[in-house]
Amino acid sequence: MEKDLDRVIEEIMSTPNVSGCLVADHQGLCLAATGSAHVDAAGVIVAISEQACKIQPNLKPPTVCLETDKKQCLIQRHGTITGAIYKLKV
Amino acid sequence: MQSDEEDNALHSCFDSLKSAVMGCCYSICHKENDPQENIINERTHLLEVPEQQHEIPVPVASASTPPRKPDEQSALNRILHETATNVIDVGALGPYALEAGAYSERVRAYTARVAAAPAPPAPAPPRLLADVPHGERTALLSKPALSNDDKDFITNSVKKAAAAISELRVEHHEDLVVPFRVP
Repeated sequence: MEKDLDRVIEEIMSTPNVSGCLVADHQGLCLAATGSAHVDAAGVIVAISEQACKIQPNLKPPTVCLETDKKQCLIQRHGTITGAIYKLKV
Repeated sequence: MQSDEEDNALHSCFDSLKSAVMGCCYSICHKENDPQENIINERTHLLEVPEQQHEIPVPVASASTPPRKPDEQSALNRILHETATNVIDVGALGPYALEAGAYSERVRAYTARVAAAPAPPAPAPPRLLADVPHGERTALLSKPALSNDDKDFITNSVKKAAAAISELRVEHHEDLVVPFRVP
């Protein structure tokens, strides 16, 4: 049933330096979460992407990048689906 | 000459007396003629002020004839006195001004009091998202933005995930309706 999604997640996780991946719908319901991405972060990630879309309505879709010293969190929205990828900094 | 002067003084005295008597008569007659004068209505004077004022311009008459209503006069004086003591005339006080010596003295006293007061508590530090120092901020902002590889990676990944989710279908494995043993 969700084999396609699982395959996409696996593909993302196989990318070098990717430590986690999360996919959520527009209401903040977590559809997939693997690696260092936690299910509880789905709501916050969707909210961040919504605010980014409000700030930059011309960018379709805006990409949000949260950075720490060692990690990076990329957030982007496509339609009703929001994806987040946790990466280790090179 | 003296007799002429005395005659003139007598004439003026008689004239003033006559005018006073005529005024009194007029007021008395006026009162008698007006039947509504004794009835208290909206036109009745509370303090009989017009009669008092009528008597004042004729000092000879008032000196020669005793005041008609001493009680009213004393009551009016008393009311005036009480009102004068109760009223604070703000306009007559003048602007409130401090002398230069008193001013500097107060400045010194207030400054000493402020210095003696305990220092206000330091503002609470921001709990979330504290601002970084200026140098560090400039360094961070001058760094290159998100690389195109990362941008393409997240875009493609989210697109694929959205496509996969849109393909989500319920696969039929077994009947959802389970037949019970209905005869």
